[in-house]
Amino acid sequence: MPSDAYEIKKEADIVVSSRVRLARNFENLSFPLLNKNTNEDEIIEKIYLAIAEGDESRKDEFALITIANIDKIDRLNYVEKHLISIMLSKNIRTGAFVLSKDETISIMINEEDHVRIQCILPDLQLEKALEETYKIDDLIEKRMTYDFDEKFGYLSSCPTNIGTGLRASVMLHLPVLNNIGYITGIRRVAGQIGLAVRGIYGEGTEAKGNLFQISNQITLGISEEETLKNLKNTVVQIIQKESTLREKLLLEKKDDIEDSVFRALGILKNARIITSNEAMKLISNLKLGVALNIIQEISFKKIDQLMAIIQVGYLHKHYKKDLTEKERDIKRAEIIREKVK
Amino acid sequence: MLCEECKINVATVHMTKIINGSKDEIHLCETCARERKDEDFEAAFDIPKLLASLLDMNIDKQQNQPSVASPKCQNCGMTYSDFRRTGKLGCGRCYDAFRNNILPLIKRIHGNTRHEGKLPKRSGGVINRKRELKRKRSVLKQMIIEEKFEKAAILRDEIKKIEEDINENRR
Repeated sequence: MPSDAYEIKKEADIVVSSRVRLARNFENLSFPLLNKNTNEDEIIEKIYLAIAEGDESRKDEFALITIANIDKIDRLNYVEKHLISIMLSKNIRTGAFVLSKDETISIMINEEDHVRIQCILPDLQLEKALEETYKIDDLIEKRMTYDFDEKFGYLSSCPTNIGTGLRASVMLHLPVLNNIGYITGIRRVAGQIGLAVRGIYGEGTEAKGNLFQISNQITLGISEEETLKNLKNTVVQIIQKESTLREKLLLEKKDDIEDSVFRALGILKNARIITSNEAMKLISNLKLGVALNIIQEISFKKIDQLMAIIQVGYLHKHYKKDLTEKERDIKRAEIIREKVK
Repeated sequence: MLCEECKINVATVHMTKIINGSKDEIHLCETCARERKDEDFEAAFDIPKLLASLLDMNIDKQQNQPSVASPKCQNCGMTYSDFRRTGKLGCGRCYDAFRNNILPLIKRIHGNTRHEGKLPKRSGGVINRKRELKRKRSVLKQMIIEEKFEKAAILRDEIKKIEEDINENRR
């Protein structure tokens, strides 16, 4: 195998997805949190049309969804898929989003800012994700005027987002680094260069299934390209560290690793009741097992899918009803058994 | 452990209250904890409050006496003390209204105070005009010092024209 192909494979083993979002506000309107604008529906419509009509070739690609028109289960489901934020899901009065068919692009309307353009792509594809958000950004700007300050750049509700309004993040699966307690160290070093390391559901949450999100914190005085470069450089270093440790672990503790991978497989194949925390932990072991070629029968794609479908919102949606905690744990085990045969 | 409130999410916020020797434990998920208007929870992870406290450090040094009327944004009505409480601004004009007050905060967050990167195509034109304006103004100053009044008068008219252009674009 050529060496660079091997590198790419290593990356794919550890990187789950790349996400980019741009925060934008319009001139002459107060920010959404103030609740002072009266023509919200008009604004939502205008943004949607700017996107849907802006590019003839992508006419049927986007759908407008208003928070008021979807139920609790759908809202949670979209949050779990990282397509909308918790904050937007709670804005029943004026919240809306425009979603691309393949669910890679989502444009949140009336979150904390008027518009938040987001693109999530699998693997390490930050530049491509930025490019996609730029396309939407330019389409919206053709019809509406952004609030922009010469000194402070794109203005936003919170001063932490002014400047480029860009938040870029990469989701990484770091079971070995996490297990040896290395994350705290990474977090400290990342903090020093303006990056944050968080658990899977963003601010303040615990890392589920050894998934971590690395993102930029500084948005003013650093260009979009520089921001992505910094983030990417750091991410690549973390990937290298994780994969070196994985190789070492495989050399020194092969039996232990194999044991934990096959145990995870055993439980997932047979459990009748399982909580999301336990499931995430075991699926994480499984993912490591696939990455290290200990098991071949399951693909990465299937594992990432598994992580998504065992979440509460998905289960509720799938079974089309509110489930009790116990029912949920039973259904979760059922769904997992079906997938991991 | 599941959240005691919604019984859906995992409890990640754990709080123990001891009042008169009796112990009370509460376990909530972040969402429910946030909803609960409990001061202790709010303080625990509220980024706006953290920002506000950063601002306070700055303010206390400058003015120890009870504050005079808090600056107010004429556009949206938000006052500077509202911002200190919530950490969020009301509209784009707030950045002008509170500029001097929030500049130290912005510097502390970003380490920079001047935007680098993408410019909006629409108002990008205005920005270029503004840069031109700045350049011409400094030339004008120099001309006056050098007593080249005739040339200065021409330049003054040009400046006026650009100013009008910018103002028109703002509407």
